[in-house]
Amino acid sequence: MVKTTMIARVSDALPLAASIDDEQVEMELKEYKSQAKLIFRKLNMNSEKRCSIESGSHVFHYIIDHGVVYLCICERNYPRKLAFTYLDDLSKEFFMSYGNEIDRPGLRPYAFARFDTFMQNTKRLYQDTRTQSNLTKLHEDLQDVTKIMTRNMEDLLYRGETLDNLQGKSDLLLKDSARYRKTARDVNLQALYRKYGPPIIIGFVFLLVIYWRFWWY
Amino acid sequence: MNQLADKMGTMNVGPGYGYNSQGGTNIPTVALMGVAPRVLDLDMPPPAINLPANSSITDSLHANCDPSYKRSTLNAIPATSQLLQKSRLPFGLVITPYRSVKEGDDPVPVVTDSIIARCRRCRTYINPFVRFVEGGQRWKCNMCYTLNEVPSSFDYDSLTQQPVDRWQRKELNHAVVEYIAPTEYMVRPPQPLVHLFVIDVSYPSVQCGMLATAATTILESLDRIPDDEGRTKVGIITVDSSIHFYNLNTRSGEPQMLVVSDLEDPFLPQPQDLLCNLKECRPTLENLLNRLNDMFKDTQAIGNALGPALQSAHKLISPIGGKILCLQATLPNLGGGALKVREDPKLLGTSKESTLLQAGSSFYKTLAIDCSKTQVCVDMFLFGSHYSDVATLSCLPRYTGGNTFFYPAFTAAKSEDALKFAHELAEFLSQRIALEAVMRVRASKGLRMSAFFGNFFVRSTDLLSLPNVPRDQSYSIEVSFEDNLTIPTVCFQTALLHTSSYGERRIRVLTLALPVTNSLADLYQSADQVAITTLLASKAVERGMSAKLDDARDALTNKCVDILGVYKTHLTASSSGATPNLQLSDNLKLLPLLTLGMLKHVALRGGSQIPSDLRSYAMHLFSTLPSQCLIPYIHPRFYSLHNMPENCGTIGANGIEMPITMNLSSERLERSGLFLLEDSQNIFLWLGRDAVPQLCMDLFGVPNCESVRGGKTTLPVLESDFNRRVNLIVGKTREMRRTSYYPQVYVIKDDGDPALRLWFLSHLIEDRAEPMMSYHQFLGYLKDRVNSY
Repeated sequence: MVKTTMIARVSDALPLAASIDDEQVEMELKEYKSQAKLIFRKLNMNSEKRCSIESGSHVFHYIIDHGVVYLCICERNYPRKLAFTYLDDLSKEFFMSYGNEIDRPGLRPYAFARFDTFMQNTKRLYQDTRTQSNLTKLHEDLQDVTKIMTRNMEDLLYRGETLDNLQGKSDLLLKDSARYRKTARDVNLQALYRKYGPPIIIGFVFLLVIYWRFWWY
Repeated sequence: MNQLADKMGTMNVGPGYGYNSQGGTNIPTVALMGVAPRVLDLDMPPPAINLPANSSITDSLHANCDPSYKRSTLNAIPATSQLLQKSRLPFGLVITPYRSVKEGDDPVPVVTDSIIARCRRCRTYINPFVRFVEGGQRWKCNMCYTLNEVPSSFDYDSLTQQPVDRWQRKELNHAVVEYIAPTEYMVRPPQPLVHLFVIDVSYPSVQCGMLATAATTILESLDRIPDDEGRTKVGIITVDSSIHFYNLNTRSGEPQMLVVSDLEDPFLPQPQDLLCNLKECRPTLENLLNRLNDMFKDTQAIGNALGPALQSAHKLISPIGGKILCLQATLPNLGGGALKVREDPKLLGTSKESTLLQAGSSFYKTLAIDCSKTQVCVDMFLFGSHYSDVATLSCLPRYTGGNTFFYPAFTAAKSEDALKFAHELAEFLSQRIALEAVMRVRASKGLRMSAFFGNFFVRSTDLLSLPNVPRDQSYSIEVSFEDNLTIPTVCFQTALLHTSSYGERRIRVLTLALPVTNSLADLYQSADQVAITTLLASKAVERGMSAKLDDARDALTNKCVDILGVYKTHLTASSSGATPNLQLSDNLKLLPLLTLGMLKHVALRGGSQIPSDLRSYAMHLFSTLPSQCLIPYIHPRFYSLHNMPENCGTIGANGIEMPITMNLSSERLERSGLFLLEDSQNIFLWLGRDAVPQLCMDLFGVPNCESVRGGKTTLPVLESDFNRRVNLIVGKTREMRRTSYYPQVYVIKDDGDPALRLWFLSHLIEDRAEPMMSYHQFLGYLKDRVNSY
């Protein structure tokens, strides 16, 4: 089930709302919550829009929508489709209620803390098993799980990998490699010229001289 | 020189002690014996704070802290601890950080851009007494003298892309500011307001009408509970011999009751819906409150399991934190925390009496510590026709930052009782309190906070944890020396980090700067008798509860003797030998009177007449009332109404005009007069036995004074001019103080009930009342002790 939810602004990691958890959840998830704050700081406008990050016994699922990141921490065995449907519901409601206030300058932290009542009610919906199976059936076609990138938290922490947009990167890579191929071919050709050019020219001049000597006399 | 005097003069409200045109403090010495004390001077502002020139970097009038927020017992600090010892004056601070803002008060300025400049070594907030160096690029902390970088936004606003004038910044111009706290100051999102009512529904509670009054009052106050963000949560638990929870989130709109009878291990019957959002479940809640009295009106249960109920309540709201309001009309007698009737009239008046004033069970203190960890505050409303063990039950509010209200002999049949309770509960629910707060007082190098008095929990030496900060509660802190002071001014900064009632995390900073002196005369001329009394009251209560009441009284008397003795020895011409008269400086002249008031007060008085409940409650008020209310509580205001000037009781330029306060002596009582005495908790109207029938007709609507009924009454509203004026005066008395207590009116007839008469006369502290001395006898006693100093 969804253990906790955090909503923040992407540009400066300013927290906008969070679910209120009881003491047991707080203690369990203290370390995960600080990792979540780290994730917020690493995010920027070019980051992957939907991603799941595995860490220990829990998984972080997040989506970025209209400059706001919605993150939830779930157990590993919770179906990803449902987590992302939950986050989609939250993002729609949040944008509808507070969308135009997000970029207000001088916004204070947890300015939309009152969103927690909606989060609480939605979370309860997603905990009920009967609703779960309905939703699973409904959303099977809508979510293409393979499009969601999966990463590992350790990679993020220790190897410093980024959550950049792979699609964009791979397009760029394609263009770059095509250009590289062309340039490489050009350079190869030039090298060929430089290597064989002078002897061929000398040979050609020599043949010309002999031809001229033999044919003119 | 004149400019300095003008600046210093404008720092006070009106002409205060020590203000004269030369700018020096030249407070005269007055003789105490042989004159009636000038009680009008109780309302004077404290002595002027004479800081060296240019101590504050702007010329703002608000650069130093207003006394109603924070005041020191000494407005000039001794430079060495030996000097303080020699002067025998108590040194401490009296702080009311979350004072209410009534009309006519300025609101606290708020720094909205969250640029918080703090010293990197001692973590002091920037204040009007720092120094800017290096052309304004760095600032020098006035507590530890470290140089710090000035944040770039002090001169340039990045949002509007415009330069700003740093000298207009609020934190450099005001001593009391509030910052909007950024994320680093929060461990979790700001909590919403949570009110959980734990209501006693046993037979005594229904009999005295507490249940009906409480249900109606809560119903009517639902609109006044602050709910700006729609996040406020409310829940109800009722207790008799089992615990009843109410599901308020049912689809049908009918509340559902769930009963838990297991008192050994109380559990919550369902995980959700016992505490609901006020907006969403409002109809169901109103339904429940309307039916609450009917549900229990035929109950015969006399058991009350408050302990297990409080444990369940704590379990219910500990994830969020909040307030538990406990309305209790019986002594808890089931489950953990059961209390026995331990009131023993034989112990009253003996040295064993203080055992009755200490907690009878450690259950409540342990629960209080648990509550304080999870930001839960407990308030107690106690109604007792019999012994209610206020001493034990008030432990919970004491360590969680709450409040205790006591209504002895409450019956809703008396409309005055019901009105008082309803008014106080409604005001209490509508207060904009602060939540999940911590408070710390920092002082310049060489001083440290040594003792803390008030309703809070002390965590880690000097951090005070207050799960809820009610409005107008006062905290006293004693200050002691670590090193001698070599600096010309010292600074005391109080920071209160809290969540406001509308969900914003804020920091309220109060800064007080005081000059340092090496002269004993300066110390005495800058002492603030009101602050000294407040601090001594808290200390006396603490001593009375932990040791004996005799010790507390002796400590107060000895302190008075010491102060008079030092003044005589060092500061008057006749330094040794007997004097014909006691002398003290003008700003301290009422200290013996206030000390006598404390000695004769219900809280500390000797004798065996005072039940421990009343004494415990009076002690609680001694430690939490702000100075504005504590001084009238110790020295009540006494007015003569039958011959008051024509303009008294009418609406004048500054509101309703009050008559002049008189000395508290029965010499002032006239046989044909009408007098009013008020001590911020009760209002007494004394009717002389020869009062003219016209007076009784005008005021009470009855033909002669035999038909006037004594005791608790509501003044009738009649057409006569006199009645109108008296009603206005009574109304003004109820409103002019900052707290939410609603004094009741008692009519005392000179020839009426002797118990009431004695009660009234016990407030006239200048009189002799066996075995206590009169004021003049007390002065004589002090003089004898001082002469043998």
